[in-house]
Amino acid sequence: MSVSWQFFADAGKTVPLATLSVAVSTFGGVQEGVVYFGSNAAGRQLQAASDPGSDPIEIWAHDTDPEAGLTAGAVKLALSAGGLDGASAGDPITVGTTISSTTVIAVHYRITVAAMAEAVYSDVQLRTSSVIELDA
Amino acid sequence: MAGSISFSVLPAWRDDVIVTITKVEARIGGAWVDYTGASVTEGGESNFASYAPGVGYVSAPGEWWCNVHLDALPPATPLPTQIRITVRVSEAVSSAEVYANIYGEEGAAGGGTELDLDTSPAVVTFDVERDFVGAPWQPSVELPIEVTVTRPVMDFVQIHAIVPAGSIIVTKIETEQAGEWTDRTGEPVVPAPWLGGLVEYGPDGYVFGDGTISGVPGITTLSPSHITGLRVTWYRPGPGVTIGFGVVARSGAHYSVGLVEEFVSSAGSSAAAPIVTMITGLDFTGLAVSDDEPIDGYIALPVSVSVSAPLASRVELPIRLQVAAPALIELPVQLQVAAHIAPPGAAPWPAAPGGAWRAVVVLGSADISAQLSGRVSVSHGDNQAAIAEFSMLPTAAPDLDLLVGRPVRIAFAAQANPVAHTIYTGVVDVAAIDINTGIVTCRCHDQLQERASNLSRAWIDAEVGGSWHVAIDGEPENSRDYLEQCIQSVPASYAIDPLGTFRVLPWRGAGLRHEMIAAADCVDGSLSLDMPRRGEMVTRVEVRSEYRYERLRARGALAQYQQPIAFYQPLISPSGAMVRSGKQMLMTAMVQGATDSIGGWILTGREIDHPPARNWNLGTGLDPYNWFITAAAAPSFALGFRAWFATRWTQTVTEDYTLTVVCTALEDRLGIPVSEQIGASLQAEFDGANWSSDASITPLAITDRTRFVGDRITAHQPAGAAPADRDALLRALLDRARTRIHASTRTGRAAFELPLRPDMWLDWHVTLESSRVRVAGKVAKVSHEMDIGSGAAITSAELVFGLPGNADAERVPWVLPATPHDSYSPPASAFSCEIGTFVGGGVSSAPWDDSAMIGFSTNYQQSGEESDAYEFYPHQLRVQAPALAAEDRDPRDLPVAAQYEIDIPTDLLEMM
Repeated sequence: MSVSWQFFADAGKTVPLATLSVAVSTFGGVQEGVVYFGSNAAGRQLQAASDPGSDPIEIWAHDTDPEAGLTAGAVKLALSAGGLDGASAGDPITVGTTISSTTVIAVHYRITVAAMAEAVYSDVQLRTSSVIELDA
Repeated sequence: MAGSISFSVLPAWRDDVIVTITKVEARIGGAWVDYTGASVTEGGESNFASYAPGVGYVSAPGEWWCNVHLDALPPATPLPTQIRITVRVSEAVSSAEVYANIYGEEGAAGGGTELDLDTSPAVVTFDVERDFVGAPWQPSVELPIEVTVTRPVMDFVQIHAIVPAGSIIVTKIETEQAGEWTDRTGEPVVPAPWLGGLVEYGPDGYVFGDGTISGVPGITTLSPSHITGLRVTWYRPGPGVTIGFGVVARSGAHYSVGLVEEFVSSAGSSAAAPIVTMITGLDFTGLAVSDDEPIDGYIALPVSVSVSAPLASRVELPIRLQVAAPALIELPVQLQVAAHIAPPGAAPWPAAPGGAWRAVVVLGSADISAQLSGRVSVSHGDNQAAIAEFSMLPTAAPDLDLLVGRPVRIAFAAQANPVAHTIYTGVVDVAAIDINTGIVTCRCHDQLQERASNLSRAWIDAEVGGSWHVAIDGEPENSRDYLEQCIQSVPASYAIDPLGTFRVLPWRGAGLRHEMIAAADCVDGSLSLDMPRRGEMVTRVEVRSEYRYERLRARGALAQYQQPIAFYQPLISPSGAMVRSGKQMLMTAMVQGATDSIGGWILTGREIDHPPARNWNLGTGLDPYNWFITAAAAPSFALGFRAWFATRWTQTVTEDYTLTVVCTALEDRLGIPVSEQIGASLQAEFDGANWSSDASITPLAITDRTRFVGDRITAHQPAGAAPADRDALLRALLDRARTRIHASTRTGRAAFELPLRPDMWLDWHVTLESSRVRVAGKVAKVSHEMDIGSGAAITSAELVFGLPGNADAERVPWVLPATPHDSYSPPASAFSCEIGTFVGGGVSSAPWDDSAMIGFSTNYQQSGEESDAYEFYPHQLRVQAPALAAEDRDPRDLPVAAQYEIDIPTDLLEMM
């Protein structure tokens, strides 16, 4: 059974995101925004697979190709826009030990890109820790 | 007790035969278990001696029923299926009966047989009943038994006589019930076995006793049973002895309560001179009779036994184990690093025309760029949904229904650059097909309204800021309404950017990308400039706001009156002549009557001063004139009194604000004020029906001990309509006013077209420069059009600018005017009652005026009181409470006016 949690473009969880697209010029730049982490399933909850209900669920930027492209250190995450200033690049955020499907969590991001060659880079992803989905 | 075995041997009903059991065995789990030697218990039931090694269990002599009871079975063993004993008797008997019983926690079972016993041991085997064998033998399982003991209903009474010798004859029996005596003589009696002789009524009466019996010689029935008294008429022939009569209530044969006895001597009695014996104090009503009385004789306890099902013998906790596959939830980040578009002059933008570009359209997950036909257009605007349109010639028959709602991404790429710039993200709204050419045209939008409706208020508060109050536009239906209301208080717009992110865009300053575009970069003839329109400008906004609430008011007033004793006393000259008569005194009853009830006011306290009881010599020592008040009369008179009253009411207060926000610079520029008005009211609702009718309800409760003089006022300003809410409303209105003035100046438009600039969006703040004009402003509209047929790729933009000056304006925080103060202050008379003094019966007494003469009216005690020569007044006291002034009672309007001068940002606009 697949996990119903995913990332959305809106807090109403009506626009699921397959990709978080950001664009900068070859001169580099900073892109900020927010995505929403939640589920449209009824009566479900999400917990960390490592120790359900005790371990926190984490979200971080995962670099699938550290040798090239964007680095995870370019991504700051926070639970509020104001929290981005104090966030450490590459650090995970914790979103609780148990998340109900009735809630939605705003994940704010700030991607700081230095000058790069013109290309589309897809080697970084937002990723949760290993989770399991259970009946609430 | 876990489990036990008993054996009974009846050696032909002979008590002279000794029974010896030498071996006891039980078949348990298919094997015989020897219990010989187990101790004898249950002493009351066993009459065998304990096991003697080498001898066995030997019954006691003189028993015809030899019984041994062994606590033999351990708790956890299964039940025996068979019992076997080896038994012999002291002499041979025939037809001996032998029984074996086993007892478990849930019952007992056993069996018996008849056989001849001899002095030689005989082995007797019993099968245990099958059902009993199958029952559990678990000492931990209990079978709760509920025993309900019900006392019987007394259904008749028994009368007996204790006659030590001879007999007595009862000629009449009467009973008392409900206060009436009834002759019950000769009524049928109830046969009651076990209770002794039955005395029937005979020709001579009831004959009790035979000369020796005491106790229960007879019984008779009297019905109904609840009698309260018994009267027996009787006599005894013969010598006198003490006779006892008793009466008890009975139920059937075995239960009786309430024995009451009376002993009398029979001496002197005869048929002609019977004795009447009364037994009173009988109370056979209900169970109360039996609780304190000993139960007489043998009682077969009538019990009703209900056996309930065993309680649950196990407590279960179901374990529900969910096994879920662990997973990682991932959101790929796609970073598009596109070629930088250099500013004008630095490097040429390698774009259209000339086939140097390509349009990229991704429908769902399919890149349909190769199927595009005609034009691809995209349009963005402040506070508007971005729309797009493209046409394509599908390679297969299209399903138009499936197209609607599919995600669309439109991008523009220079042929020389590998990365396309995304210029639109949305969904297909309408799909149409040209039936002649088969070309499908899709119109798209970016779901702005849905997205806005799904924003959280927290996001709006954080990103938009500004101010909002429910009193202005009411409770928003959804977040989009809330966004629309909030954005009116800040100089900003909103839109969804080309990548699909909801953005709030300031009109000026930080948060915008600043770009310069030269006229030479623009498409020839595309540049146009419209100056800000004077007719749309607003120089001042008048904020009108009413804040209405109730003042809960309580007022305490004092009624006070005092006269010296001399006021009432006559005046005697030194010569003894009456100079002035005395006056009728103020009476205590008058004070009480006048102050007990005053319309609209509550009496909260009263003190009355009485004159002392004494004698006054108003004359001289030589010619005394005694005037006195007795101790009995003094409390009836009053020299003065003080009475406290209180009342309360509500008064509506309206703080009426007129706050004018003025941009003086703009007004000077226009030469005339152009005004608009906005407003909202905030009202604190007060449900005062109960408060007004019940003075004990807080706040400002009035009780009969609430003594105060003056006003107590509390404003009813609950949460949601408190002064802080009023201030928030005023600030929200002022913010709107400032934004409205600013917005009214942003009517200048500069429009131009460029070779397509895919990075241009609404977050651009453009400085457009030509040889004659330089103007700067935020892009409010931008459209991209890619004509695949002609190869033209054009960006059309419209930037907004306001008044010239290119200066920011500080948004100075509002300093709200002070809360208005009600300057009215009630006079001291508002807190005191009117009590005058009016004396009639004198030569100078004015004519009586009932409406004006409020207070204590008295008269000189003239001898000619009936004479028309004097004006006599009613001897009375009237107290008039103070009236509430209109300023206290009527709604109060407290106007507040203030004016705020503001600056508004200006934009770059230079003519050269």
